[in-house]
Amino acid sequence: MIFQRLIWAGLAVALAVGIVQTGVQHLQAVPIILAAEAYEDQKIEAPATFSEAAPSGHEGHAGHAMAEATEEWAPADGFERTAWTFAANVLHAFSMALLVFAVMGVALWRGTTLRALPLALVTAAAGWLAFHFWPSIGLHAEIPGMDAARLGSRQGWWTLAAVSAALACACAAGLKSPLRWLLAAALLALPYVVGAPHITADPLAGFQGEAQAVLRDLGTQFVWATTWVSLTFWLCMGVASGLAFQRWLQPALRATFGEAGKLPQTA
Amino acid sequence: MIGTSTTAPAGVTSAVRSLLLQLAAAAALGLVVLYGVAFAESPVAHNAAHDVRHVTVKPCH
Repeated sequence: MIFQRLIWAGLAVALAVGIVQTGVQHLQAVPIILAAEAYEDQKIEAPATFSEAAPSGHEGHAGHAMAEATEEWAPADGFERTAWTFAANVLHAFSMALLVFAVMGVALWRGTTLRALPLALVTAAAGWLAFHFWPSIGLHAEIPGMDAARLGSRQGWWTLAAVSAALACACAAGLKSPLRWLLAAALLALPYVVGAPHITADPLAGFQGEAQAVLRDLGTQFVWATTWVSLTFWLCMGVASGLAFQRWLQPALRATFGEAGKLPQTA
Repeated sequence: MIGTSTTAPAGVTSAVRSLLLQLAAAAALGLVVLYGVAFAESPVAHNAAHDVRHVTVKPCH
């Protein structure tokens, strides 16, 4: 069963990437989140328009503070919180590794001539585009405390942007017709034709004076911090999944799919 | 583990289909895990993965 191998190889990649990511985030992105949370209790809750952002209480814009207010479990600051962040990082990397392996497996089936590591790096570049860059241009990284459009609509748009960019990459890489570039461009444009959901008011309207200025600065820092985090994530993912694929998956897949450059069957 | 099916032409199609299905199953599992980490609205999932959701630029609150 190649499935078992995919799981184990995915876990190995996830552990490696998760450890590096937790370290990188701890150094430069998490401190910004913690600094922003220190201002959350200064927020003046806006009436009416924003209240729809928190239909069931737990997803209010005040996030951490809100979670405490409704007495939902939340990890204690310090070691416990970092441990859960590590666990979430490993699971996130695991999910991405499985998708990377699946794409690489299909590329092998289609007779790619790339070796495992370059193929993994190309796939990781597409992953960065689809899962980070393309959605993030429309919906910027947010620090805790910022107001935004309704959560469900932002999640929906994020999904649309990611799926569109992934399909655009698949078109560009997988189709033969010269029209594929046009199709890829149309797919990339789609989420921006639809338009990312934004509120008309200032996302930091709930804060005043110095707090607002500090948070605005933290927000800008966070956009850059998350950009570097995503680049390190996908670089690590490319290298780790390339090595894991070469060692644990490629021989089994080649045995059935055939050698490089040859399509074993018409498709 | 690798599978004992031969590469005889008659067996290839079903062996290839089996591999592609397993790749698809792995990708589907990946999407389910991604949903749990990044999108699930359960307060516990949200609070546990809170910092990762922010850092990976997923809509969080």
